[in-house]
Amino acid sequence: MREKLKKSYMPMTESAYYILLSLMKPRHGYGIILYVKEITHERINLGAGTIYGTLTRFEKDSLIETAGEEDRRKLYKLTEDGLWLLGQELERIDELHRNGHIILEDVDYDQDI
Amino acid sequence: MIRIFRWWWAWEYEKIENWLEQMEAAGLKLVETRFKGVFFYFEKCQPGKARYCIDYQNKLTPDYLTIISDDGWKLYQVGMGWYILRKQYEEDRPELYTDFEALIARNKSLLSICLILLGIELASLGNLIYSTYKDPNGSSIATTCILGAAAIALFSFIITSLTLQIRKFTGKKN
Repeated sequence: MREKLKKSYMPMTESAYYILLSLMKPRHGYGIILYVKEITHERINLGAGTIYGTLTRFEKDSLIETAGEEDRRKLYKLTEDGLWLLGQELERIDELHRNGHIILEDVDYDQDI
Repeated sequence: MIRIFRWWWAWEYEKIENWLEQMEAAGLKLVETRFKGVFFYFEKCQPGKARYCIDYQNKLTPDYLTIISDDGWKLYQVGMGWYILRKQYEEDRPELYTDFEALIARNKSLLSICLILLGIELASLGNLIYSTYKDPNGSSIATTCILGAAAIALFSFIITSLTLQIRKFTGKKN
């Protein structure tokens, strides 16, 4: 079951990754948009259609579940499977990051090529 | 109110979105659509920037309505699962879909509905041809075939367009 999740979700898009990450705490759809905007310093502005579609898919695959309501807005939070998948993705990103830094260690980024 | 008739196919939605945006920039704001979205009604307004997006939803859920209105979109009903959404903006042009994954998923659900309809159409056409064949005095076999063939051609056309669009988005994603 978990291997199947890995196959269909990894590597994740930035949207999927940040939506899952936001749901470490219960949040509603618009709350996710605001939170992701804040932690990426306005770089990522998720569309409402994307959020709705992604939440629906995540819930169907049991990566997230409902966690009550706030102002008549459904709250979502990560499930154990969701948390596990997020960990797998983080390991993958760690590898990208590590290898990038090892190989580019001596490169001067500001230099014109 | 100004009424404009404009015929459009589902895969031409970007054209309609841009046209509505240009209308608003020229001082005409969408009020409503009628007859499955082929009659557009506008009212005069201060020329401004507004993004229009066309969306398809199998089922209009309270969750969908909440999130789009929280994000500042106004919803217009078109019919048969189609909606037009409008949002005013200043600098960055807003998007309803910022990730192709969700857009691909939406088009796939639309595609499966079309395939089911095509299946039903093929089955009923087969049945019609069979019964006309068994009872030649009944309805004309030629009319049956022509109408059925036209319907199948239309469905095939829609299915091909949707598949192409899914492939286009998949390409953009990678």
